[in-house]
Amino acid sequence: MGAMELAAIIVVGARQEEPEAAAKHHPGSAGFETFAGIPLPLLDVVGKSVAHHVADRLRRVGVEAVTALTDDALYQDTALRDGDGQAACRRTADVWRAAEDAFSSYADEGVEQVLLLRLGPYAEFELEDFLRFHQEHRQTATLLCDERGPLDAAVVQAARRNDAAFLLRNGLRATRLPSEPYLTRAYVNPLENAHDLRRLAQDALLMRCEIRPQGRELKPGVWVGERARIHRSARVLAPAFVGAHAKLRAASVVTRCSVVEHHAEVDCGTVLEDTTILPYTYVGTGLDAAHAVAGFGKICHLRRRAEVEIADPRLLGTVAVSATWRMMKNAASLAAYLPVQAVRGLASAGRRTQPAPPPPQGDVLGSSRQHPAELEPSPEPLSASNEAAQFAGDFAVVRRYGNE
Amino acid sequence: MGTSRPVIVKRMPDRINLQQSREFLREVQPLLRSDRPQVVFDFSAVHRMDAAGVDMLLECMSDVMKHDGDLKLAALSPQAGVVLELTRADRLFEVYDTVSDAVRSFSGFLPNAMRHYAEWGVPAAASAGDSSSKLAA
Repeated sequence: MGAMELAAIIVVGARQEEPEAAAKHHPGSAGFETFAGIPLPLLDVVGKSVAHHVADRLRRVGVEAVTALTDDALYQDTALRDGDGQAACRRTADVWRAAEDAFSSYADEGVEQVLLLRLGPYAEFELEDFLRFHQEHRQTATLLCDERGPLDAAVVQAARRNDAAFLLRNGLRATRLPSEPYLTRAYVNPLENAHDLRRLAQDALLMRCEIRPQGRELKPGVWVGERARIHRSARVLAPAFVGAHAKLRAASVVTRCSVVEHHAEVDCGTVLEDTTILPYTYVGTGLDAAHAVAGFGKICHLRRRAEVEIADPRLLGTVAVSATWRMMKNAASLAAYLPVQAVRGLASAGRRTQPAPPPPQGDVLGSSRQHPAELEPSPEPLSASNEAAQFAGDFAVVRRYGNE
Repeated sequence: MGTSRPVIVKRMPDRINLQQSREFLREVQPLLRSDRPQVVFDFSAVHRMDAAGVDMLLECMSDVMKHDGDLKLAALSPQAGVVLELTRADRLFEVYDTVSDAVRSFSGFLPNAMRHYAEWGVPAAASAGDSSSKLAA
């Protein structure tokens, strides 16, 4: 087996810049480059984490070995596993130190050049062109930039360990020796906040970037992952994505570039519009989520620029990661549901068997007069109970405006 | 056309869960059951709200309507705004940016409608004039 020419090291998260300065530029976003404490590149976009998409893309364009590293503190199982159960990254206590070690290993193996990336920003640069530029300029290290600045990526000669160490210690934003950066005009998403994550999903669905939805295109613009369950009365309007093992229950609607990631559940009657539902997220009954990213007990409203924790599992919950546990929970809920339905069925059957008093012949007006009495408000006040049954589907509100 | 009835402004607690909702409802129910109550709920301090809070608001609205009054919401915190929008409850209430706007709205004629005209770039006076002229015609 011959020596490798090109390898890549991907560092996820671990931005070295001051977060306060970043937060100043993004008011309202609770975490810079994170959502619910998880780095955005580890969150799924149309079926796979961004880190996975990047690694796959690098492999496609000829990078022979890819190492992805993330911080121990940032590692979360649910975030890192893709629909097929693969882990996206190797966790480590000191990610930059681990990157230096990985670089040394590649150098020892005889790799000629190493591509260093921090995610962070997602860039679809032309790798061949980048390498050609690096070679033509005879530089030991070349930074990747776009018109807004550095994209936290560089290519380094594997023999130049000091240059690599300097780059890694400066967050891939400065080279040890002066060098001309490579300017890309390709698709770039800064992935700084949930808004950018949402935009990446939209761009993937609208084919504006190279990321492709991981599933079968059932009809133009609608991708569905393996073993996704969509109720026959649910509506999925293109462009949209429903991930593997996801569930859309009766009368739910997924529209306007909405994405339901793998193992997520959307309950009856809920409408998703321009929304991303992250993996293993349960969205409650009859809700209306628009312009949002939801998951891990949090919802980020993109228009209000607010990240809100939702503690009520009836609104936003978490689906168990373990399949066995999920099955047990489903069995338990079914066991609790069936007796209630049986009692209801018996009660309604009892009501049906009672003979209804026949309306007096010819007194149509009289019988219709009785109906408004049923609509009269009950004399007893409603108690502030938690039961949604009090405000069932037949609850109606009539408003009077101003002095009208 | 003004109104001389008092407007009651009630500050909501910072957490609106099941227990807080019950306490709050017990507290405000006498106000809601007065004759034609005009009530504003100030949401500026709300940091956490769940479905029980939304149920409670609907119940308050129901009580107020039974007594021919009106309930308006003001100064929604982002948290409350997101939950109300998620549960579609925001469509059932008039929502104002500030408490004073909400209070003032009780003494004006369709203030929200006029505000929308202003947002769309149609001068409020012109649109009112148009409608009055149409009515006159």
